[in-house]
Amino acid sequence: VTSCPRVCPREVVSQDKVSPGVIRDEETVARGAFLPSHGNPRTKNIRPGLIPRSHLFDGEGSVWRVGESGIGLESLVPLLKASRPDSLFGILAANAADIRRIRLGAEGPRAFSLVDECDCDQHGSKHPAHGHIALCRVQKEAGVTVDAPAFIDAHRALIETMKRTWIWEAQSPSNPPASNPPTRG
Amino acid sequence: MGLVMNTVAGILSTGTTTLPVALPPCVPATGASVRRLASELMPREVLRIRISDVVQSPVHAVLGQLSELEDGWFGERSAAPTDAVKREMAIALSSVGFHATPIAEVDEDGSVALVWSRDGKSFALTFTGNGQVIGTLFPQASGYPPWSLGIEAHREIAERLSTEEIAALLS
Repeated sequence: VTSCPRVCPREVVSQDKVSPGVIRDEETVARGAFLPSHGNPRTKNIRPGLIPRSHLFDGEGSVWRVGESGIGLESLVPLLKASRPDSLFGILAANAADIRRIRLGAEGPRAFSLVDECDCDQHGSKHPAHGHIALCRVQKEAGVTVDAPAFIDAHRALIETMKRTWIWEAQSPSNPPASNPPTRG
Repeated sequence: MGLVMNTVAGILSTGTTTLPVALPPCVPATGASVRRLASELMPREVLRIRISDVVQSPVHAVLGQLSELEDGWFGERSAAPTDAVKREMAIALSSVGFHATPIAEVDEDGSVALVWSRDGKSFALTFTGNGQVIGTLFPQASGYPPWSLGIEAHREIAERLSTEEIAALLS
């Protein structure tokens, strides 16, 4: 692995004209969890497919900025439900700083960039609250592969970090909704 | 098909002890049964797991459930675990004696991770089908960096699993 600047140059300059600005460390970013591949709503087990490793490697791990700089849950829930009707079972969130703290291996360089890229599909649609988590470009150019142990380790750390905070749950008879959304960030 | 896939996904994630939906606890993989299974999983052969096999071995159980997944199980970009992934799991796990029930996690690229979790810690063995098994610990710890070993490096794999922290998660 290659060392990279302490401050990621892609994170300090806004990446999209429609963005409200760079993603600050204190912001919360979220990701929708869908059936069947993202996990089990009953057991709360979340699988790595929540953010596929290949998406991170390709620079397109989509997240939503929630809160003042982004989108409210009252808007995000119907937005996500519209993309895959009847399969959204939760929205998971993490503090931006916690994501930026993940390393490629315990003592390696930072693993991920978290940038305000607002393209939210392959058709050019944009949303100001959209962002991307991506394998740091410096590391990718240095030869980190999608199957590298350090990258798999970082991916697991990202999933574990994301799955700790549920800010919304689908309501069902055996699965009542969360009463207190964001617990961190 | 959607219902079937939902069921399979639920099975893979529950980690409960009700057979045949998950790995039974306190039933370590036996080298002989797993090696036999590995031989059954040679390329181009159809994977068939009988219920009696599922009951006999936790490795059989998880491989049987993985076999239910097909390409496209979660959209066009999702791939089912390949025979190589399943074969390599069987080979590598022939040297692993574990008692705690792992959860099998499938990524959209078809790679499979067996995950043992307890008290906020988790250890995963990941199989991507490239002949390697990758071990990772969360939270990331400087004393236990991620590692990658050939699936037949049984002695080295056993050594990596014998540290106090990992052994506690697997027991």
